[in-house]
Amino acid sequence: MVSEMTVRVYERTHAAGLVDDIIRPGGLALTDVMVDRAGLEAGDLVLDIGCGPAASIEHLRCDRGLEMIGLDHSAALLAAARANTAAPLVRGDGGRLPFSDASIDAVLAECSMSLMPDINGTLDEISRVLRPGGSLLCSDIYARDPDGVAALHALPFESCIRGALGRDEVLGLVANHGFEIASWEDRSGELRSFAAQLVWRGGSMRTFWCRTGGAGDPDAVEAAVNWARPGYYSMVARKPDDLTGEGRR
Amino acid sequence: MSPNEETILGDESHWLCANCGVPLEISKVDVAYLGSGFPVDLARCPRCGLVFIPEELALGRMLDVEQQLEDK
Amino acid sequence: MRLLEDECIQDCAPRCTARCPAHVDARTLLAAIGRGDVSTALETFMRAVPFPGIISHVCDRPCEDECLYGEIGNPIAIRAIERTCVEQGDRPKPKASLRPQRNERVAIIGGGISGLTTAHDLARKGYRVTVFESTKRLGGRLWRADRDYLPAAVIEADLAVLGDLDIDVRLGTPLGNTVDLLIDDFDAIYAAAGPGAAAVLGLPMDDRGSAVVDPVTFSTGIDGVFAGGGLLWGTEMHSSITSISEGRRAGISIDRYLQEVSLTASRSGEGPYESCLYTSLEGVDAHPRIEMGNPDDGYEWYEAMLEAQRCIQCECMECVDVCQYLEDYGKYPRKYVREIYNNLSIVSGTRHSNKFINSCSLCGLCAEVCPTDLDMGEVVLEARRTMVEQDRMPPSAHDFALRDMQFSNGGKSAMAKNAPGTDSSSYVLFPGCQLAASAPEHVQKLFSHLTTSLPDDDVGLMLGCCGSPANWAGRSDLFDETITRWQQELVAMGDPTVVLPCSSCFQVFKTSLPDVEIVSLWELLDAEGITPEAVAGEPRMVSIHDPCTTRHETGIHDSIRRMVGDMGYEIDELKASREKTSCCSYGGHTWLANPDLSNRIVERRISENDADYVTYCAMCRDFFAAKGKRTLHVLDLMFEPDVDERAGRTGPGYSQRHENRARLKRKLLKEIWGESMAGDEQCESIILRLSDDVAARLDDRLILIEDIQRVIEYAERTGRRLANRDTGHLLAYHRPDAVTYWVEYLPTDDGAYEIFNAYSHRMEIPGSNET
Repeated sequence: MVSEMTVRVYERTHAAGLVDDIIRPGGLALTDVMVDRAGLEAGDLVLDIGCGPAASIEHLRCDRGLEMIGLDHSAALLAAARANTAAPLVRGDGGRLPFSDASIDAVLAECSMSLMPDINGTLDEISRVLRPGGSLLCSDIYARDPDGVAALHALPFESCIRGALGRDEVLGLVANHGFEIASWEDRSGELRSFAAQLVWRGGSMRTFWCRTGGAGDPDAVEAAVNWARPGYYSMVARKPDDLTGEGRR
Repeated sequence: MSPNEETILGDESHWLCANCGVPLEISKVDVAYLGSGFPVDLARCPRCGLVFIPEELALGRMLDVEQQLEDK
Repeated sequence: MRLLEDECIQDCAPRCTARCPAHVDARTLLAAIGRGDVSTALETFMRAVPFPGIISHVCDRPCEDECLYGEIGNPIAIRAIERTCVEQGDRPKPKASLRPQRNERVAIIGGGISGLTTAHDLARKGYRVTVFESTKRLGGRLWRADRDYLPAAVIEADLAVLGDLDIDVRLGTPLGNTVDLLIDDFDAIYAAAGPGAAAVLGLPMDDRGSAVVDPVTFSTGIDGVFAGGGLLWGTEMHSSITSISEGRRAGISIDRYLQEVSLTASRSGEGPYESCLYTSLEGVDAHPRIEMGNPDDGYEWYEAMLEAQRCIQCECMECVDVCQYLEDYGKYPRKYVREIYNNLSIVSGTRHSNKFINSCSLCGLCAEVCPTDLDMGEVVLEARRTMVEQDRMPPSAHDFALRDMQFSNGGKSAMAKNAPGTDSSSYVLFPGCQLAASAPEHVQKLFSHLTTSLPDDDVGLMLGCCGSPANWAGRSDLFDETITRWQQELVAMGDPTVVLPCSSCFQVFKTSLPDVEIVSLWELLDAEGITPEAVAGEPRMVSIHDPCTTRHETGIHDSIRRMVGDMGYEIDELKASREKTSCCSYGGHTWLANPDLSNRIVERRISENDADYVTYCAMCRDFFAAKGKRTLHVLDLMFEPDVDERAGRTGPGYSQRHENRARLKRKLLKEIWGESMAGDEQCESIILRLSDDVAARLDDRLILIEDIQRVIEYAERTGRRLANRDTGHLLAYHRPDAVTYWVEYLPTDDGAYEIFNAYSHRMEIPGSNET
């Protein structure tokens, strides 16, 4: 179950006027790169977990010809998404995907995995709904200094930074759920640009990390965040083909 | 448009491009520092690309961004 | 970092606390009483001592014997003040143990003060404690004290605390050979019965019948059995405070023993020891001890308050006292070293920490006054180098200063030449970049002076920057490059002795080019007796400000004073002079990284004495003069007829400094060597007109005339300018190097340009360098 607080993170991000592609580092350009890496083709069915106001959905649907379904926990974001796209949208959370087994060609998770309270449950579900040979396209925050991860987890607030793991942990988790890693790339430069743009528009990364308020001492938050040396990554992982070769195009 | 238009655009209506003799228009301009770049809305000459950065922006928001990027 | 941290002694306990067996924090207690805060004082006292009434009556006061004040007068009457605490304060009820009741049972043998301390401590931790006392009441030898000295009521009040704790007290229970018996019923034992009981209890003994225990853990060697108090007495009885200390320490041992953790780890601070804290008594006036109005009743509360205020609150803040930077950041070196270490290895540079690292002047004053010679500058410089290596040094921290150095070492300003008609030099004058920038005419006079007064005619000249700015910025790469260049030039000039007016240059050569022969200009002038004639008239009073880079150069200090004296001045020495001198804030780029701190450093220095200052560093002189302090350079004394006028002169702005260096080279090349330099660039022929306000704004914003010239040259050539509809002003931008400059201007009728405003930014935007 994604908590109310988590949902509010992205509602606020949206409400602050951060629309088009600066809702997240890398923007649509990064989405495209992942889609290319995964070798997705027009007509593939793609589930966007944590789709927010559907920026990626609309782009991939209209410009890449992908069949998109959006899933989000926030009614407010889905309402905004509804205004932006005609693609089917579902309200739900990553821990319980309302799709049958092996029914999805690819799952897109942009800056949403780090928000999942039960990452293992979510990965199980993703693995379940993906057809054999299907892809997981994931971009998210990660902690470049794994020693700082403990400090991050001790932070008392909801934000994507809190769920950030080190690179090895991310890769390990994904591999443990049966995925093969096709590519993993550091995109920390995108995070820097994102931060700069936030500041340009009058925000600050500090407010970004502490978005839900009641986060306690901003100095402590900033120190913990800096400790972990936040970076950004994009990853494409593949669910192995089943041995019978069924379901593989 | 972002809520802080006045700061970014300043009094752009008071300036025109002396090179081309035309008024400036708001458009997407790529800015960068220390290897990080991104597009922002700025007043710009539609013909020759001359950009207008008002003093308040240079010494205010831009300086904030520079410091943000310098601190990595 | 650990070793460096340890050099800072501020965390050491003061003498009273260190010497007290129970480590009563007398300093905090006295501060609290001094401001009338009895409850904090009592709380502080009781943290160390569970029986405050007893101790404040009978303690033998090792703290007072150690009290630093005793070196100049009567030690503070700590015990008497403790008594006032107890009498005036409300004793807090011991909190019931917040931990769940433990199952382990502990036996205390002997209800004297030592055993009762252990009982108190362990009961509060939730253990099940039983006290065996052979007489009919608790307190042991306390009852044998003189009743006037230790009234029964005081003993009873203290012991009442035990009633609030869940302790099983068995009075009238003498024990025979207990230890074996007890081991079955109890999990641990603290034996603190009277002297001579060791044999009865079956404990290991020495030949005087005292129990033998481990000095750290108080273990008897028998598993689970600890001993202290009277059992350890040989010929002398322990003081009550020692007994309490032993009881507490045995309690710690038992707690660890029952939790099966190390009995010995981290116990080095227990028991009395000698403090390593150094506190200066300078400036402390000795006041006599406050007398009690009625000695039998102890201090009244207001008497105690006054007596407590005599306490000098021992601490070592020697360095913080002398350094505005350390004072500003509000901590003492141990905390800084830790913060810097954290900044580098763990936290990736927040702006606050970076600024903190970049604000130190690297002047070494802290090391000079520190009892253990801890040099913050060394720590900070290493940090800067590391930040540079890890690519984490914000470019804007030092960029302006590094570009200034680059200019000084560029074609327009730098040169190295032997005297005309010679192909090698015995001496070469290297005036440094700032003297050339601030007083180029003095460089010329100095050169001509040395040429005539030194033997032979082979005095060469080298103009440039020694590389200090690169060193201070942590840029080892640039620094090495710079000093290598000068080294090569000197070889080509026949290895002359380098004459150095600037003490920063002097240090660079001394430390980094040790094979090069150098001499301070000041020592040279003094030794060869070639000081100009003394100034006629009334002797004037001046104070000498020694530049921080002369800190350990006693020879230079002496030479300067001799020469200044010979020239007819009287010297009123500043308190912080010679090796204790303070930096003007130019060092270490403090002024650039932290302008606010720089201002305060200068204000602090210039208000130390009303007399005019004399110094021998161009930057010190200019910095002080900029804040309105009349300051002379020794070269002013030597070369200027009207020193009064010179003392009030403010130094040149940044653009003028560049121009001065360039003009100096051009002029000397022409006049002395008969050479002409290549023509001016397009830019330099552009004439600018600006009001004083605009000029001041440019200096504040670190924008140079040459930057503006470049923008205008570019804008006029390419036509790329904006025009203001209302004022008609033109606005152009250009990025020649790392900074984009914006200039608002209009051409004047006579071919010049009037400048209305200029600003800059480091972010790159398109259209700044079109052809």
